[in-house]
Amino acid sequence: MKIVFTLKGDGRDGLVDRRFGRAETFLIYNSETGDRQLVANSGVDAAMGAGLKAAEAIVALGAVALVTGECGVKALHALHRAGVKVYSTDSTSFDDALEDLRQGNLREAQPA
Amino acid sequence: MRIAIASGKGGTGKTLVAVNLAAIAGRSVTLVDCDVEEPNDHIFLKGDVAASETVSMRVPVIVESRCTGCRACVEFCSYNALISFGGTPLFFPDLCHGCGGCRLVCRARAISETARPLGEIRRIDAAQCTLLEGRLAVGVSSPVPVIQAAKAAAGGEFVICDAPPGTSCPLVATLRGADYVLLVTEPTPFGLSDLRLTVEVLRRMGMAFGVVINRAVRSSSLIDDYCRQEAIDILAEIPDDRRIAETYAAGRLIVEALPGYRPLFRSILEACRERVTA
Repeated sequence: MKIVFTLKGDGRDGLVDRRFGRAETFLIYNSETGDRQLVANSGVDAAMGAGLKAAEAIVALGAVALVTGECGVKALHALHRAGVKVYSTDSTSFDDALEDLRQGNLREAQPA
Repeated sequence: MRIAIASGKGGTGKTLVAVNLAAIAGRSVTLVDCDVEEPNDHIFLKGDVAASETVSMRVPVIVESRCTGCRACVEFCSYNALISFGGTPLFFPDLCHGCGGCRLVCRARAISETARPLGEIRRIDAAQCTLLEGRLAVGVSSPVPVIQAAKAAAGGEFVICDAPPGTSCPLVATLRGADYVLLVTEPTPFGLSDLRLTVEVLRRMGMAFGVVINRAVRSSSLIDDYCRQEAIDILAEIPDDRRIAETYAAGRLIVEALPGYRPLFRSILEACRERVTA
């Protein structure tokens, strides 16, 4: 299963970006193999609809779940339609967020 | 003559100046309330709603059975109002600007259009003048189409547009086509800061403008200093008079309740007229 985390900058510091569409980097975590892959968010500078563009991008990357700070209503709706689970985290580091996900401590966001 | 009244900062007195100028200008003027997210000129210029019309935008409807999932419309839309996870695209009306491009690029002819209501325009026949009021529907994010429709509905030779606060698209949409812009400001650091931003917008747009200082106090030369430095005309100062605040808070016109101020508002109107005809 591929799970996408949103990271700040180029992602090498492993810091979670609380924003989804405006995060610079997506970390794709493979829960079976433990592999991690960093992918730049090409829609980060979109004038409008960055969240929707990001939703499209992570679905194309094969994501089944997303871990981010807050996801906007439009992106949340789109991801729900695509069958991607969205989890909100307060953690600042990827390691903590991953641990929280594993422990089942993260809240799943639902579209209104 | 088309005059726009703007400020950048909210609460500086745009509406105060707009309604009193319109009232003193008389029956020949049409005041357009372009602050469509919070129109309040009607509080001062009272009258029955004589007519109203819905403002809408043409937005796409995708016929699922015809869509081939080719993504041509998704690639075309610069505002990301259409996205696709492989099948029929999802449409997000809030991001749509109504350009109709998606329909044109659809080879499968799977896109038709429907009208999405964005707000309404009301014509109010007040005793003093005609008021056209734009009102944005709840949940609609861009006020621009409603502002444009309200302005387009204003006929006549003399139009005053009351702008929304801010310096982005809604302001620009209000200012377009104006012969002269009155910038209402207040002698505070916030007033000055937003005045600077608005002046930048006006200069980029190549518009003629002047400043009205509201709640003017002798002890502050903040705005005067800035205007002198930038060679900007100061057309008038409205004093920091408690009676003005009380009259305004009661929803009444200054030019009616405090006739001593009529010459001041008349002089602002005359100053605009001189600059437009010059």
